[in-house]
Amino acid sequence: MQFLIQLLSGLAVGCIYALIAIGFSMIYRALGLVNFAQSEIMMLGAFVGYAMLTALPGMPFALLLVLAAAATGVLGWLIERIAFRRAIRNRADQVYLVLLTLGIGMVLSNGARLIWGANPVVYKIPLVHEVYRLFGDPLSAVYVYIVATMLALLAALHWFFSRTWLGLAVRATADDRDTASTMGISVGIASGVSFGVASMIGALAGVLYAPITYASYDMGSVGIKAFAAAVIGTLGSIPGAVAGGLIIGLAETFGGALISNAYMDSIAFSIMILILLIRPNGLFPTATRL
Amino acid sequence: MIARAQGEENDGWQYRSGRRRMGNPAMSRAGPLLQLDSVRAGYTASQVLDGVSLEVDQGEVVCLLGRNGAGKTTTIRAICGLLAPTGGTIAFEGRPIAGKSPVDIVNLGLSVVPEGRKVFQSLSVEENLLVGAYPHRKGLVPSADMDEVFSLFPRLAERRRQAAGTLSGGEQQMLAMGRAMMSRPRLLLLDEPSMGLAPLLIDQVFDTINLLAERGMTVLLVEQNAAAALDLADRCYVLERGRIVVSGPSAELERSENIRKAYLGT
Repeated sequence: MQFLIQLLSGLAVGCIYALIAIGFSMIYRALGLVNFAQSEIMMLGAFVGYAMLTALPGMPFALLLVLAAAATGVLGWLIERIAFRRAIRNRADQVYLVLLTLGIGMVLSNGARLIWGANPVVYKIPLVHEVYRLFGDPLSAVYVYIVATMLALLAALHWFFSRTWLGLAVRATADDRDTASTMGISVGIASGVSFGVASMIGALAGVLYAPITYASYDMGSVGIKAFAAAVIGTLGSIPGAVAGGLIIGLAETFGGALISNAYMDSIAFSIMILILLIRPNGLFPTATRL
Repeated sequence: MIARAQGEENDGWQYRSGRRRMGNPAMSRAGPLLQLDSVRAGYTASQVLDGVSLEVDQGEVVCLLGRNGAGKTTTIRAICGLLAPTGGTIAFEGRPIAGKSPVDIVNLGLSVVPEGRKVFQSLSVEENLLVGAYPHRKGLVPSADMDEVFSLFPRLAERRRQAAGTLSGGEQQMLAMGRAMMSRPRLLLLDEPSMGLAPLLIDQVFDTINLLAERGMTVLLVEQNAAAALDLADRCYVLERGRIVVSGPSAELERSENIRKAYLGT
């Protein structure tokens, strides 16, 4: 049953990519902006989780997920409020805004290095060593948390975007910013909420990823694969981001097993190139977004 | 299309009953509802409005006529706050609003149906109407105001769960008008509601505006379809190269030789 284990771990890793990719897509959809700091937000979330675990070692993992997401969400909203809102409202050039996201990403990763050091840290929780047996093969318990979080998050996002005023305001602004403002929705609401929610989702990815590997100031490098996932699924589409993440996760897991783990990254990007050759606008070009 | 009994209960919008057929500034108590005085506005490269002055009184339907590029849409954008004027004053209910944000302006009771309808394409009909009610947001549920819009536009009720982007042009125009009504405005700005519509649908759109006016809604209408607009409006202004060149009661303008030649083609 090695196949089943690989399938499940591929899905789990894919979910991590998908979570980061959803953050890329949400901000792109709402503001037309590629936020390259998204992967550093994930890193920050992992460290926020680590700091919380250090303070309260016995905390249940589910609670850790919620608290770290909430705290990182506030940080994301603050970053938007301080660094982006004025620029977005005054219609700053996209090049400037993208550079701003890159700069903020660097500040975040260097800041984390300053606070938590250059050496990777591990989550000291029993969950890391917990293993389920599936037909005799080991399956990390963290993977179960990853898939469960992914499903819960999709349900929560669906509720948020279709059943709350804030969610509706973000979607209306994404469709037509000027017209939304004449309905009483300020651009700031949409950008603040998008950054806040995308940061919460990034923190979920970080806290779920850290127990599989570690937390480190440079762990944001997986973000480039998540970005590829968002592009595969068409930037701006949340279902697309999930599909793209799962495709990359499965491709690199099975590809790595069939060929060699050393080629995992190039397998993932070969898949992306192949898909974009066939469908230049990704898998969900006009499908329902958000 | 509008099958609605006159005496029907209205628990939605607050209409002032009885429409004055002719504008009569003397009747307004505290000055005009909307007043533009020498408004200048434009874009980085070009000045579009070169001192526009106009007034809309409570309960009036006022039409702004003009050719493409005369500055009609720029005037609307300046009033609803999407474009900050570079000079002059705009007052709504006596309060200066020039330079205020669109959010502040809609919250004061001024609602716009933009040129090209601009419905939120990926949102359903119902969600579009809810967004229109954003200034009064309470529970995110269909309201009495929404029932009011659906009774005005039964077609929208049939398509309430459909994405607005899949509606026909006429249906999108109805949705844009219904959405603007959801904020319970005291002044409704309509920017070329007949644009790109078939003649039969244009009649429907003008019938609806007339019905809203009969119920007491104050309307500033921008149009290229001069014949229909003059028929509907109490008073008209004609805009040319960013200036008001002619103004007066619609009936007078309809009789004017110059206006007939320039805008009615007769």
